[in-house]
Amino acid sequence: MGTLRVVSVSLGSRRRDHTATVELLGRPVEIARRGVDGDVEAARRAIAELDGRVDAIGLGGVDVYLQVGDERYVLADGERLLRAAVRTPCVDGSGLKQTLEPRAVRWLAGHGPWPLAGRRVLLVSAFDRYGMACALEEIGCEVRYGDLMFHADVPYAIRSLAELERMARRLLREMVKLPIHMLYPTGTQQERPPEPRFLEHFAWAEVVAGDFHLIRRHLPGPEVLAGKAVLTQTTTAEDRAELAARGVRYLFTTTPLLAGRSFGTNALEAALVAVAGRGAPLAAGEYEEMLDAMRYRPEVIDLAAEGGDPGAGARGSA
Amino acid sequence: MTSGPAMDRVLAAFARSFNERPELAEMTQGWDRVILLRAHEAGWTRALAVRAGRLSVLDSQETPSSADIVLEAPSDTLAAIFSGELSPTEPYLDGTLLVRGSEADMMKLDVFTIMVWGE
Repeated sequence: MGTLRVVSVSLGSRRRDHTATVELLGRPVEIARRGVDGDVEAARRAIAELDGRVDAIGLGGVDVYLQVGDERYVLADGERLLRAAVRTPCVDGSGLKQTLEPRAVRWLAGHGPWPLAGRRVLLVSAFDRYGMACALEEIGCEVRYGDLMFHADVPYAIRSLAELERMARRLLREMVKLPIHMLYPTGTQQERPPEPRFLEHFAWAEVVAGDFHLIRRHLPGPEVLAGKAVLTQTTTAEDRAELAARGVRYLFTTTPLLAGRSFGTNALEAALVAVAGRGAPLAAGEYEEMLDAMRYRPEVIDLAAEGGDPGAGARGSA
Repeated sequence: MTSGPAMDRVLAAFARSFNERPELAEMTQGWDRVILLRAHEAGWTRALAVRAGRLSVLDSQETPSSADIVLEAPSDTLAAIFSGELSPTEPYLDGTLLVRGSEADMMKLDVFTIMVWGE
C-alpha cells in the first residue's frame, strides 16, 4: 500500500509549517501543513490546486461548522473555502473535534497528575467547542465561557450552557457572515505578543481551555497563571516554552502525538478520512471507532518537570 | 424614507430596550462611546451616547460634529437596524451601511444591537 497524502491548508502563519510521515492505523500517511498567513484567497487557491491530487485536505485556522445545542451555524467565508475542493474530501476538523475533545475531557477527569473533574475552567470559546463545553460540565467543572470576550472584546462571561445556547441563537447566525479575520486571529495576528486582558477570569480559573491562538491573545503572566493548567488542541515547542515562562504547570493537548509530532485537528481528521478511503468525511461513530483502534489518549505535559527546558516538557498519559 | 421624528421614536425605543437589559450594562463596561447616525438622503443626523453602561439619545443641541463611530446609510436602513428588523451585518457587508470607526468598535456595536432585540 502506498503512502497516503494529506495537506492541511491553514489560515495561520507559515512559521508553523511542517511535513511528517506517520503510521496511522497501519497506513503510512504524509501530512503536510501549509500556512497562508491569513490570506483567504491564497487558501482558496491552494485548496483548488490540491483538489484531486491528494487523498484528503484539511482546512485549519478556522471552524466552518459550529454546532451549539441543536443548532448548526456555518461560517460563510469558511464554507466558500471548503467548496474549492470538489473531488477530494476537505474537512475543517469540526467533525472529529466533537468526538475527540469530549473523550479527552472525560479521560482527563480522573487520570493524570492533575485530574480535571470539578475544576474552575475558563473556556475561551465554546461556540466552536460545544462538545468540550458539555463534557466539562458533565465532569462537574464550573465553567465560564469567554466567547464574547475573546471574539468580540466584550467584557462579559457567559456562565451556563443554557446561556451559551441562547447567545449563539442571537449572535452566531449574524456573526458567521463576517469575514474570518474579524472572528479569529489569523496569519501574523497569531504572532503578536499577548495583550493581557480579562484578568479577573484568568485569575478565577484553575484551567484555561480552548483554541490556543485565542488563549494566547490575552494571556497574562506568571502572577496570574502560576501553577495552572491549559487544555488546548495543538501546540509547538515555542508555544510550550511561552506557557512555561508564564508559569503554567500542566498542558493538556487533545490532539495526539503521531511519531512525536503534533497536528491540528483538521489535519488529523483529514488523515483519518484518507485512511478510511471513502472519499468523504466520516460520521461521529466512525471517528470513535478509529480513535478506539488508535488507543487514543490526550497528551499530558508537566511543563515544570523539564526545569531549564520547559519547551520540551515531560510527556505522558500518566 | 424615514423622517427625523420617526427615527427619534425608533431610537427612544432602542434606548429603552437597551437600558432594560442588565447584561448590556455589564457588556459595555469601560466602553463609553458617542455614535453618530447620518441619513444623507433624509437630511438628518442623530447621536447616541453610551456612558457607564447606559445608552441615551442626545438631543440636537448635544449632537457632536464628530464621534467615535459614524454610521451612514439610507434612513430606512438605519431605522430597520435600530428597530431590530435588520441586523447591521448584512448592510455593512453589502456596502449599504458605511461605518467609520475602528473594526473592534464596529464588532461590539453589532453585538449590542443584536442583543437589544434578542432572538
